[in-house]
Amino acid sequence: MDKIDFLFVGVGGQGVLTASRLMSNVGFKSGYDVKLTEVHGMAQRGGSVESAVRLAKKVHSPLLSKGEVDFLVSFECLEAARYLEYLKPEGKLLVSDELLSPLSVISGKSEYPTDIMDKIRELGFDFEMINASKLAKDLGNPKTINIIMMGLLSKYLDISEDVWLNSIKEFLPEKLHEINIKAFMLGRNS
Amino acid sequence: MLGNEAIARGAWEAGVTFASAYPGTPSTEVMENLKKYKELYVEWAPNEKVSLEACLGASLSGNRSICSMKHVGLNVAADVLQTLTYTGVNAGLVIVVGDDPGMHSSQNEQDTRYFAKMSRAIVLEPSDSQEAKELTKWAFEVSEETDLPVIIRSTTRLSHSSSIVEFQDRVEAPKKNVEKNPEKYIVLPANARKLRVNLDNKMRKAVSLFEKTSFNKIEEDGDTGVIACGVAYEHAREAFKYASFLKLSTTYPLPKSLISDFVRRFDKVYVIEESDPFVADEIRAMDLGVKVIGKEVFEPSLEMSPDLIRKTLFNVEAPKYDLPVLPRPPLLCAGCPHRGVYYALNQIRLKKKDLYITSDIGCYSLGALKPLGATDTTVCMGASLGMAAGLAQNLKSDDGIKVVATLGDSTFTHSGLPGIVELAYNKAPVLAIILDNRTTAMTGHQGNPMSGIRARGDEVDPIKIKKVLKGLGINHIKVVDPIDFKKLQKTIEKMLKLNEPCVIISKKPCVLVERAQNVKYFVDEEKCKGCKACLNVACPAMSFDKDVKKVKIRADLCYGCGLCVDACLHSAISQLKSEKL
Repeated sequence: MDKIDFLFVGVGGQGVLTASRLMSNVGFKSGYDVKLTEVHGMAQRGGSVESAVRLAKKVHSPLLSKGEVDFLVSFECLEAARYLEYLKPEGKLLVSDELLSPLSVISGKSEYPTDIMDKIRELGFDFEMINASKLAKDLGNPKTINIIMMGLLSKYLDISEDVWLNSIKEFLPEKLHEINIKAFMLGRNS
Repeated sequence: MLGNEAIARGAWEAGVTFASAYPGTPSTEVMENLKKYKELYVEWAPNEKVSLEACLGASLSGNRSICSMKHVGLNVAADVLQTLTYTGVNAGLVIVVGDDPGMHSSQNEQDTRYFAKMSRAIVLEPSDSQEAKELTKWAFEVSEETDLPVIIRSTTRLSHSSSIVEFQDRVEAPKKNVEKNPEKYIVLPANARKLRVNLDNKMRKAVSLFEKTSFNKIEEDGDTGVIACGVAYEHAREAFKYASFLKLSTTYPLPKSLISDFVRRFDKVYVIEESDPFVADEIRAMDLGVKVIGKEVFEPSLEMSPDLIRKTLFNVEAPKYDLPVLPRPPLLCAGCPHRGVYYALNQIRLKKKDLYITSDIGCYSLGALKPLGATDTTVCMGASLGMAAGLAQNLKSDDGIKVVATLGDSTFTHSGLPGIVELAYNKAPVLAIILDNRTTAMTGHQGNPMSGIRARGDEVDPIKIKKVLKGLGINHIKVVDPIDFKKLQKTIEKMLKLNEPCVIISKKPCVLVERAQNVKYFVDEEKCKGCKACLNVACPAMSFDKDVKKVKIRADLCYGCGLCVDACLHSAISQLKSEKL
């Protein structure tokens, strides 16, 4: 492909930045020019978190344009809806079935729209949903949701498994290699 | 690598030997990355003014120095900057300032270039990580050649974007002698007048460098003329399909001949830049007879992007879907030790006594969000104390509104000390609560003088806060553990009765550094009446299950602070037995 745009979204603490950094590393190793953008500071405290990765022969802006993203990878359902306008109509949405309550739901002021994924389907978007939080819990480390999601994403990209696994090893401390490689393969074979 | 990481790399390659900073988003990672290099001294300073002064001292000693700060940090350091341009430097001095267009993590959007113009400092603006590295490296030479400090103006989108960077080796900077030169560094009026005259010569020298440098470049590709700088150049390259570009990397002082040669070829030019129409206004003032369209036509408060350029200049609308998306503002983490303080204050003012609560800059500014809703102001670093003093002086004979100031440990040593002196010296009846979580949390857990942890992780004796407060004239000081909520509440209520300045230090490490208690809590469904009183603590682990009309606590998100137990009216929340963990 000439260019591939990715948008990773979720809630602060879910490992969105690790996922996007892994993607940018994999893209770099596959010979693309890469730009990645992320948010720090205030938004990381339980807020909505987004990080974009752009791969192309030459990337200019690190920012994505609405309606042009190839892959929207969401670690949480409401966040998938929040950033849906970035996805191009024929783009792919990958989503973890996690539902995390924002402040207005926590304080009892509003209700979580549990039918949000149905609404996204009605708009005609193609998505694949995975029970990543349960898979991660069964694996013994709830923090591996992000790597499970990367495994799922890898199914749609023409990048060899070795590049992925080597990047995971480069990125994470050694004691986390085994569990994260398992997590990656869970997503990839799902 | 990240833009900030590349700036650090550039400084290292340039042979920098001294680095001092105060953390602030989006600038923090400059120093965090400089720490990775062993060849230089790095430190967290108590505030930005001190860090810039330390850099000037290092420069006089003959060492290349760098400091970094967020845009509002330059307000604190501005006093130094305005005269530093007069005195000039010995070894090269570079100031990295991270502006935050769109206010991702800041209280305002100020454009650093106006400060540069006011003081006549140099500004360089990189557009990606590679250029960030190259410009930082060059900045030290420019500083030495012009005898001026050089500001690298970054913006959030440059600082926090990554792109590919080619490395070079470190070159040790040419050795400079220690400089003592009273006529240059003592700005008594007689000297200052001469220095002021010379400042214009220094500016002219900078302009002549910038007219020639290959960092400013023209790219011919069409009949539309675009001048762009910083990361906005990259957005513009994407949004304007066919255009001729003048990419400016030196935005103060401007290379006016280069600009006028470019501009005169068009009937109108677009100037694409971040924050304010600074370059656009400078070009307009050159009166070249060409229409200049700049940042003023864009909606204020929005960060520049390819989408925003297309929408504003070409009327291209992005897709929109009608989905029931709830906002997800940031909130205090589960188990955060600040939560109890704000919950206690809010309960007091709802049920017992009217309070005016000033707050400050840090994670705890999130105590303002409902349902905690426990603060009335957040303005700038340290303002909680000064504002509280003014409020208290005017409310003390009034209808019993008591004034409370809340600020964090790092904010306290940054700019809270003079505020405490104000309370003590002018006898303002304020209860100040120092939220001491042993770290600078919001920016990523940097050490500070209150924790005693230094930039490279070594430890010194922390500030003896009780002694400091006592020495400054505060007679009532209490230290409490906020996890013991009942004691915290009692202490606050007792201190509120005093009619003189008093301080509570709420001391507990940030939950992201050390969890409060290794336990978890659950709601007994039999006892829960569904009254939602506990939801007023705004804990991310808790939510209301509308099907059974009971509150639930997610064990995977609970950090065991136990504040919900105190908030529950029906004794329905208790600890999970350890075997269930």
